[in-house]
Amino acid sequence: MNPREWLVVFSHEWRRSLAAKGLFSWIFLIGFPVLIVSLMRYIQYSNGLPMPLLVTWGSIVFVLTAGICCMLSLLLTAAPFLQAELEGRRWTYLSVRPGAKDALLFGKHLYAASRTVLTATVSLFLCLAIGGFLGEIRYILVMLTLITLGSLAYGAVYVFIGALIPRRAMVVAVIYSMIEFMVSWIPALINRLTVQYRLRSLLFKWMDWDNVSTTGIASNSGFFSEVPWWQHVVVLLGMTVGLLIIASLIFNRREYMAIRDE
Amino acid sequence: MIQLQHATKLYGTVIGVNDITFDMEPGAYGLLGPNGSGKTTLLNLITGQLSPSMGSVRLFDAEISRDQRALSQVGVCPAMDLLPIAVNGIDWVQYMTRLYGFSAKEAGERASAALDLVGLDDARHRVIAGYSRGMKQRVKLAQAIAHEPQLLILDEPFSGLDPVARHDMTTFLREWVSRGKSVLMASHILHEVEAVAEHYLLIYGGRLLASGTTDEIFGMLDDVPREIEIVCDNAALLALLVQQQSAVDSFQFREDGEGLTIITRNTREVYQQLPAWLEDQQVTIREVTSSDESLQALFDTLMKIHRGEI
Repeated sequence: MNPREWLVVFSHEWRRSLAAKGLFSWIFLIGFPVLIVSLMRYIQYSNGLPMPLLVTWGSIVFVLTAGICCMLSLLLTAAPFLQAELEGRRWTYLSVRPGAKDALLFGKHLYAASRTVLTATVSLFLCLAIGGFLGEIRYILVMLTLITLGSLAYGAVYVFIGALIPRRAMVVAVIYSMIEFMVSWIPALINRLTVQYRLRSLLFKWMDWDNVSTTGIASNSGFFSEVPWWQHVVVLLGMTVGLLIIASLIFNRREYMAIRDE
Repeated sequence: MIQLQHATKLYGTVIGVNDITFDMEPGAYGLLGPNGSGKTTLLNLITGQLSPSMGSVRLFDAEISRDQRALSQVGVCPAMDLLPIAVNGIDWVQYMTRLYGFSAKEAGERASAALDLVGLDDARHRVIAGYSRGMKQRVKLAQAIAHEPQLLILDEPFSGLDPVARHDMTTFLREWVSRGKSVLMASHILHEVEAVAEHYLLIYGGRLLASGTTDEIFGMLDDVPREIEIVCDNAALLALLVQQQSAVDSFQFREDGEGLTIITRNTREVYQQLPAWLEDQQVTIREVTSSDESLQALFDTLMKIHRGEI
């Protein structure tokens, strides 16, 4: 493992992402949460309704940015990390360079996570600006932390899927995303397996929204967790590191051949 | 440099490479075989892209499927016309070179030098999508040599090249070998391999039919009947003379009637007898050829032996 080579892949992917195709997906990912909160703001304004509280607006923005925006961005960048190489005519060259497999896996994970953090952050600020909550520094800092943790963890999940099932990585990742998103809202033990549940619990903890008088949701509802915040952070980071190591082991042991387009 | 011990690669029930054993010292090697004979699978085993189902493959004394560090001494130029299209030549070669651990500056310098060496100095800033087939082959070669490997592995290096590009490729490979570096090239275009390689590996159906220098491989065929074509004025007289030779197994008249095709297990004796026929018997021999002397014929013969036809 040579982290210097990870950075080679990381910087190469960043340069590639600045091409027209990459910019288009970027605009889409930033734009769709902004579009939704703009519609909400328009309905609220046109019906003369009062401005929602931060807990309401912040929860919606959390779901849109740290949830859907992060998942979609990573779905497009992390899940096909190997599929893109196999189909994109580069695998034959990468596979004969020592250390290139790990460079590809970790470098692309770093790239996907950093790009997602940037995408979700821009989207977050635009959403807060539309809602008039740009002054909520505590909320912004909490959200930036959650976006970072979420990007790393979701990125690791998608990279793992990409290494395990490279030819169908996108399909499996889409199915996983839908299941993860739905399961995270089920107030039962199963939702603790999801990244979204951990992020939501951290949001409620760090924003002091974890009492029934603020949100109307009881702490024993299963909607968020009562355990100390650091446990969620350990689970998310442990999951990130663990899945990347397993993905690396799979990636280095399995045989992959480039897809010919003849 | 490369050691294979009973290397076998199975794809389910299909055998890609079948129990191949050889020890390759530094030098220029040609890996010859028809399409589907297992050449690319063998190269993939040597470069660690595939792990052997049985046996072992060692590259520069390392078990390549477990320890890929030896790949830093190898440059690989794959057969397929697979290249990224939306990037220019210099950026791509630099990126590929950086993955060997070089800094951006050093990789840039090496990429530049490699592109100069393969004759792509003018087109380096053009996107690869706009390259001709010959230029693509050159940029593939540049990414394989930019880190100055000891061993260059090329899969069908002459495929799709025009005569000028083929000549340039041959010249480049000869110079590469003259610098003390090694080459292993898989091909089915035999005469171009002959122009560079000193040693041959002949593969068919995943099996190694023969290996060695040209002389060594031809030496294997001493007991195999070979053809000599003689064009002469008096074919009937020559037939009379030939049938008295114990070295001649059989003969037949050419379709145009102007000579014979002789089948013999002892070409040397037949060739030694030719001057005597010329002098003593007044047979005017205009042309003597042995189609079996080319590598293609050798390969065909080995294939016949392999199939039990000889």
